[in-house]
Amino acid sequence: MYRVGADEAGKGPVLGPMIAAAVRATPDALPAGVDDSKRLSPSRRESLAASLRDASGVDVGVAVVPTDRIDDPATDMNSLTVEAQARAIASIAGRGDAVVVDAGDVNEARFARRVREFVADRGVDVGVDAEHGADERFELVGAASVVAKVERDARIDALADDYGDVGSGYPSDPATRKFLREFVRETGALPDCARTSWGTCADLLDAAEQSSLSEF
Amino acid sequence: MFKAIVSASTLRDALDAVSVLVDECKIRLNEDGLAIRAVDPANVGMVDLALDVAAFESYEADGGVIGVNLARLEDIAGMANSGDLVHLELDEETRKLHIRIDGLSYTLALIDPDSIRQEPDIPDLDLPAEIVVEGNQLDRGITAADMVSDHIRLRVDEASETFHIEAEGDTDDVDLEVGREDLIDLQAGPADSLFSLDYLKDMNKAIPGDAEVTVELGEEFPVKLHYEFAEGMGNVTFMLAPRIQSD
Repeated sequence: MYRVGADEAGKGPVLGPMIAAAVRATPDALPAGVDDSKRLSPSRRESLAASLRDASGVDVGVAVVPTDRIDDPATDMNSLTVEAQARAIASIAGRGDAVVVDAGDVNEARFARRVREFVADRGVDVGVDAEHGADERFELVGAASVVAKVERDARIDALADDYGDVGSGYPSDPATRKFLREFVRETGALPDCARTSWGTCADLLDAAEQSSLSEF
Repeated sequence: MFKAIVSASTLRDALDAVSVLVDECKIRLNEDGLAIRAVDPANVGMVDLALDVAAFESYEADGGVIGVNLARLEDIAGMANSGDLVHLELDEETRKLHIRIDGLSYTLALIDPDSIRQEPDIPDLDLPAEIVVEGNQLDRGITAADMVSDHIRLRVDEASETFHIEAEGDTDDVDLEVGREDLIDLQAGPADSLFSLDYLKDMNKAIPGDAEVTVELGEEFPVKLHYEFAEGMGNVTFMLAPRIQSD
């Protein structure tokens, strides 16, 4: 019997897309050492993600939510999280699969229902359970968290080719803030990879339009 | 050495003007009175304050500098009724300021002045327009602008000789037009600049409603706001850098 786990990475950062991943496997098909992505080193995550993609009996689905969708006023992060997880699940799930997802909503039952309905709209009927901290308790959700995190990190690393060091993309990261501040100072606008609807971005633009007394 | 007696309301008016911009400041204990100059960490707003020896009941000083935590000093001054006198005396040995208010004594630990941000140089600006307006009028315009926007435009219409306080919000706009008859004085000139309301609101809080405020203004230049307190024995100049107008 196949089971599916799903999780997302990159909900909070100010840079780059949000990534959702789903992993479908029979209970004994998962490679050893799967755990919540937060408890694994980056290199361990990368090798695990690669073996998950290679393992027979394991399917991996990924969905990307780009920054322009995140910034679209018609969307909200809760709905985008539902949609992203559901797209990743629908790309690999079979009828009747038992799906466990990491709840991206304070209300676990509501989140599970929304994911189930979204997957059903794409033509696959599955049962969905949502739990907070599912990435720690369910190997398949942990596996999905690893895949999502590795994909997200790869995309942030790729930004360095265009922009230089952008840091982790989190608003709390000084390297990320420095990158954004300097980009805004030089160009007067935010880079395409930034979530312009985030408060960090609004603050930066606001600060860039304020002159300093030392200029006079 | 420093030893002075001053009314609580005068002390509070002085501290309020500085604390809207900074948490700590240097106070120069000059022979002819107190002087404070400070700029906020972002270098956007500046205050230059002088309190003449005549504003004090008694005053002795010989040119020292002390560093103070303004919130602490405001709290202490807040313990006094407005008619109360505040006694201040510097203990040079311990670097503490002894404060007495009607039986209450407080020993305030001072801050090393070298650890406080350097006092700014005041930009030498020749601003083309000068508007003298009552504090209440300014407050009215700022309060209205704050309802619709984070920014405020100060402008002089040279043809109609009017002073305008304007704000453009996402949906609503505000325009307070003050004509010559409602101004104390107006020297019209090309003047149109945009400012952060956050700063101007804070500065406005320190300005007494009945004060005559001299507003010096230019085109995309800092604004200078000048007013007197302590019955003309104290004076404050605020300076605020403009917002950059992209369009």
